[in-house]
Amino acid sequence: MMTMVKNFLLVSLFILFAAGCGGGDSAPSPTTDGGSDGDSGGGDGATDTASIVIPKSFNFSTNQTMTVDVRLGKAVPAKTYLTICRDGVEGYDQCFVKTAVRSGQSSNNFLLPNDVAKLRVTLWSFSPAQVLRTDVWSRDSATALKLTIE
Amino acid sequence: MQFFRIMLTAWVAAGLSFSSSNAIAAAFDKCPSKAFLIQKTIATLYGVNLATGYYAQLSANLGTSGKINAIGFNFHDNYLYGWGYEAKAPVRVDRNYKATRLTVENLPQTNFFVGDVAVDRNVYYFYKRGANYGLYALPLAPGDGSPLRAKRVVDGAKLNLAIFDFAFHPTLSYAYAVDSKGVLHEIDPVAGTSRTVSNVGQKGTFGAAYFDVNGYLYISRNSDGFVYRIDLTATTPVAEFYAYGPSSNNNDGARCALAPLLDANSQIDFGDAPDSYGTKFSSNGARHDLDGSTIYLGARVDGESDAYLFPLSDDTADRSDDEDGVQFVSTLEINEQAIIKVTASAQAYLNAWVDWNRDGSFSDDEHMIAAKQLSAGENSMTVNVPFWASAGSTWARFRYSSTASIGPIGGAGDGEVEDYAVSTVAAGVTESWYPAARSWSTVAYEDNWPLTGDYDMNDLVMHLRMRELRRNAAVIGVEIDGELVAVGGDYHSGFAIRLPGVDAATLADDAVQLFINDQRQSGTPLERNSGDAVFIIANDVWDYVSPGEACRFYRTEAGCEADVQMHFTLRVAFASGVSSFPAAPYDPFLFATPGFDRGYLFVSPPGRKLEIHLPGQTPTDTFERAFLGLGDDASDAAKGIYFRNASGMSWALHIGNSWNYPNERVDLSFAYPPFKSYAESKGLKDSTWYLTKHATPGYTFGVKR
Repeated sequence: MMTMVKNFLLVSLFILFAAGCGGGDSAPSPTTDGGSDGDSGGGDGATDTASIVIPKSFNFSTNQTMTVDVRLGKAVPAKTYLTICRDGVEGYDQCFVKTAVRSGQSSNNFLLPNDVAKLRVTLWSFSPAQVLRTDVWSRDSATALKLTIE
Repeated sequence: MQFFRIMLTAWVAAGLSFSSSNAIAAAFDKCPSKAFLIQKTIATLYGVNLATGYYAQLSANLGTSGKINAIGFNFHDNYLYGWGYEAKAPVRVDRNYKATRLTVENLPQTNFFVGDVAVDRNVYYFYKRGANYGLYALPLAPGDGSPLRAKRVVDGAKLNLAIFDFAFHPTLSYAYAVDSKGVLHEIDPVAGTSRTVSNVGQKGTFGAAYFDVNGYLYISRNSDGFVYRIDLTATTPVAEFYAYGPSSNNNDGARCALAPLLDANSQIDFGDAPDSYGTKFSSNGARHDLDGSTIYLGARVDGESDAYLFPLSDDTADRSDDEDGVQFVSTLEINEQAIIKVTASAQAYLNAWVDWNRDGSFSDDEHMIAAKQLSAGENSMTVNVPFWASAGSTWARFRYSSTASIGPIGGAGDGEVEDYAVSTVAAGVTESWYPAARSWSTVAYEDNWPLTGDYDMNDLVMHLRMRELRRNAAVIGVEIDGELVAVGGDYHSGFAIRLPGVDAATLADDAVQLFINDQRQSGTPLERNSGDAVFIIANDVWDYVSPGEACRFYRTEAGCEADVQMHFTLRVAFASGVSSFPAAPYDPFLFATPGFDRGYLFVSPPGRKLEIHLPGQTPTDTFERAFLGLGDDASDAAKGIYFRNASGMSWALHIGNSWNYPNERVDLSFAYPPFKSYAESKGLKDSTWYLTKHATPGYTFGVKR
């Protein structure tokens, strides 16, 4: 009985040692599903991502392509400026589109993150520097990812 | 205004002590860093910060109805001394700013406006040109109890100088003065002689002169208040503009020459552009005094003891970004107009420069906005980008102050300076960004391919953003910025970016530049043995980061929140333009660092031949296709599907914003429970699973429970 206990402890210690080695320069144990950083798992009741059944055609994208067409023609100055930015975010550093619009015509595509629900679309004149118009685009399930400014 | 006055008095009081109740008012308790300036026909005393030109009235009632001039700070007893016009005699000014007439024998019957107290001896010197006057010495502590007695050192015909103030050097036994023609004189007060040192290049009435402990001479011109600094150690000393101080037709200054120019607790706003633009205090950088000032750009301004230069600006160091007043609405396109929006706290004047020719300095013809008065609130304006500007990255400086005409360097008594890294593009070129000009997207990798990982998705995490330049719809250049935000694996991995469909053979070596932590890397990052253009950013990411004490990994565990240590910029120019350009984020991929073991499946280190790509991407030509199908890999090359396990999970993810990745050993689906339904539904459900609000509290990096 004592021998059995000893062997059990030795085996347990070996397993603990092997698991602790993780990966990296030392080879991970073929029996562990951990990466080079050691064990997997995420706490009690964690979902195992490796077991999620995912269609292989799915590319996990968190963006969608959005199309913007400007068709203002001669209703605006020969050169204006278009900004399309996340609504509610101050400034122009976080904009998705910043482009000159010549003769009131422009066409652009950009990647819109899934979490952006509203866009602020602003058309500027240069002389003087002022906003000609501002529109807000809202996403809903029925909205095509196409924005036309007329 | 009352608050302003209180603040004014407060910083001068820092050099004073009110502990004594002695009826005979006491001396200043230390050698103050601020200078004293006395003006007006009824003497009014000001404190001046020579570093910025900021000045504050200390007292308009010194107990005399006349002028006081020829003042000097006496290091030996910490009193101010000067010449009282009402009494026609020297006066002593105490820390309560009260002037007391000194009883002195042998005084000439006239008034003096040039004077100072020597540093190496306790003697007040005063001077007036003309044969009946001259240079006088007044020992302030005769020592034997005898009355104070002035002695003429030399008559003013022999020492004939058209000067308005002089100041004693802190270590040399000479006084220095600049006359109205700009001639710098060195005066020996013992011998009563002088010599010409140089012409400093500025003319006018320099009614106030000061020294600092480093031996710099400062002179203030009455007509405009400009403060100039003169380096006496130069072969030919010249006056360098230093700060915008108070102007007056009646000026005299004094300062303790043994004090440094700045207090340790000075609150001054500096810029953060590279120092070639004049940014650090030692470079006479642009700086604004914050004492009592309500003039600034944007919503806030904060002070520093000196400039913190890009990329380690104070905005990064203290996480308080006060470069928030200027918005570039449009691109800076050469030979075109551009729109900027400036937010101001109060009415004042804006000056701005852009280094259009990208030579590392702001010149007169780069003064984009000159003394433009703005109102409080938002101000939109059009600016012109000159035809001769050079396309590329450069710097802009905006200064806002009650002083209308200021330059790109030097001190100002109020307001703020904001420096911006900007880019200019050639005429006809448009630029676009992914995800936005100042936003990040995230790529995250499991490094254990082809074995299943633990799916904490933090073995390698990079932030990326792309800037594309187009002419006539063809891409003529791309700039990729990135920063290494996490390394949560022991394996040694490299990081590279491929431009799918862009032939490497069309690129010249000099068309590609890689900067890591702002240092240009030697050699080309372009990999020559690939069909598509592949750029090696790092062969081993561990070469660029250290996890911190007692930390195994870099930025994946609580207690191991090291600052981001590696950022890069890759610039690629396409001479003939690329009409069919891949979509952002292109193909960023992880590869095994050559020479390092990669687990039991590989009998020898696989090195560059092992790659891990984002879903939807294919391996490069360098990848070893024999690795496909090993371990848990279930790639289906015939269908163009790579780097998926049998259930379809990828070893890499791309998120379109700055993502809080899971903590070490926390499964992605536990950290972000909606990921499961998102993945199983092909994105139809829970498409915003990656937002922090969907994360399990406490299980993503940087977000506390």
